[in-house]
Amino acid sequence: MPSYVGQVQRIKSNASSTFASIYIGDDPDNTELLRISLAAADSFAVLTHKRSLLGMLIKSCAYGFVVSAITRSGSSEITSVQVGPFEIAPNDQPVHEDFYAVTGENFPDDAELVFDSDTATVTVTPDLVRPHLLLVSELPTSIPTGWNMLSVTSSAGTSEAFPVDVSDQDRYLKRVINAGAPKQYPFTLSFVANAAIDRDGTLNIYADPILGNRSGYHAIVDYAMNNIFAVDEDFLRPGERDAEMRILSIFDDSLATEEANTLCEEDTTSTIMRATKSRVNSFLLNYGVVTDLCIIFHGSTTNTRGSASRCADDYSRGLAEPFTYDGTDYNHWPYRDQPGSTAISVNNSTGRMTAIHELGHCTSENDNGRVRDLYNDRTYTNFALNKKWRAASGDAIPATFATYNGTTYNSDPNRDGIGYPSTWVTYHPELQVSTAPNLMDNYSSSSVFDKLTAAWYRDRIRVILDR
Amino acid sequence: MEAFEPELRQRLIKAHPGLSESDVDKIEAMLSDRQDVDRLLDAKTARKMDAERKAFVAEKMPKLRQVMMAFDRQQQQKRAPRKPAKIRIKERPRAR
Repeated sequence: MPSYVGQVQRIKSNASSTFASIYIGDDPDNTELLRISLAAADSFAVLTHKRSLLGMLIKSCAYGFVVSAITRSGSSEITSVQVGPFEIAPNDQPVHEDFYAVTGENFPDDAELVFDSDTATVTVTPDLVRPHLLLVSELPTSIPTGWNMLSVTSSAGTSEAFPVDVSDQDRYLKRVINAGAPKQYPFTLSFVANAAIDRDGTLNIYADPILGNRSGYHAIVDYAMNNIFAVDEDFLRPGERDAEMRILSIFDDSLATEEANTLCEEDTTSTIMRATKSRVNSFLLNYGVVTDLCIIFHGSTTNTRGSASRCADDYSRGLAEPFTYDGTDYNHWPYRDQPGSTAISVNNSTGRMTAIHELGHCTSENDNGRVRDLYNDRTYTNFALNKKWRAASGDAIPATFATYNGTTYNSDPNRDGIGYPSTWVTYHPELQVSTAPNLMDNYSSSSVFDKLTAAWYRDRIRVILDR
Repeated sequence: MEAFEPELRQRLIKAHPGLSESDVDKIEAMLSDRQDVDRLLDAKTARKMDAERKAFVAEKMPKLRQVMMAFDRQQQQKRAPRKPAKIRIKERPRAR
């Protein structure tokens, strides 16, 4: 089918607006004349489609976008329009103090956002830079409201400018930080502000103070994004494939203090907060969201220590990838029955690796591999991927830890510099980096998973991303 | 769940004369295990674990929550202030 590429130079319509002439070409004096006609016989769906095409062409004409208009052979009637490609793509409308994300390709670390308006040029350094994503956690109020031309500038150059309408209206309830792969169910990570807290597991609930602390919520999401995507451990950004992940935020301060919105439960003996994983699916469905992983932020002043609950995979949906572990068959499943969920305090120390440590638990699975805490000597009756135990503490640690999919992984004989207490029977897989403790142990800021867990996660994440 | 910090362990032992490192190990492990269980999905196991943990805490370290809260609050106060947004503004002169 013929395709006409260029800027929309002008659009004319007849008096009854049933016929539009569209002039496309890079030179205003040398254009192709195409048309869109609205006929009385057109169905509602066809009319809606044609009006949508016309709307795109009008906006493209106003902003100077390059379009690609497609017609049927031998006809000048436009049947479809593609706008762009753009070097950058802003996500949603920019709103003062709200998240603002811009996607693109090959953003260098020094990338900055430039908002250029009639009154000022405001340059903003993003809070997170990924090769495909620039994230500002709270858009500065110094950016003039109204139309700005947005570009990305860096040592690599400056992108084309993109018109954006900056607003100082209410911040969005739901924000998509990264749209991810264009498919119905991309691998999804959700950030949620919790609405109600259960004091003791008896539905003795109270309103979560985080809903009155929007700024704190933005700050903790900023921390989490950096802790997940800008530390040495890269299991959620394998080969930069985090570009394919959908990442979104929900902060809904209209939520009632009721059971359905109670995603956190306080432990009465300690300061641990537990995520109520079984309510996450139905809560998120109210926002049209299906998630694989969920970080629930809360504002409890008493229970400020995080905890996590791993995924329950859907064993009936999609094609599983089988694997063997020490000769036993298991599966990496592409979909979740219940998402891995963690509860983290809005006041969590931003110097800690809490978010990525807890996601280390969350992303593992009930029956096909649980990623365990390694700082204690607990043994289990179910499949612990990253922990084994000897019959007696005096027994030597076996040189070989496990065989995963035909590859043999050694044990960590020393538990980094921490050392195994003499009374312990448990032992761990070999570290990737021998100078830092395991991320699931008494970690440091440079900690990563051991070799075996890293390999297992590479496969599991790939299966989820490829679904 | 993250490991107890060495300083928290010391404070727990100081607040509970006779408390051993292995007692602290045990409560830390009990709390870590409990995060595995969603009360709504497995109420029986959750109740059993909660009862065992409460009994252990009552016997060995009744001030556990109080000590943890005081410690956690101090840690939060040490939290680095949020970095201010880095922006540069160049205002345009108004047209005359």
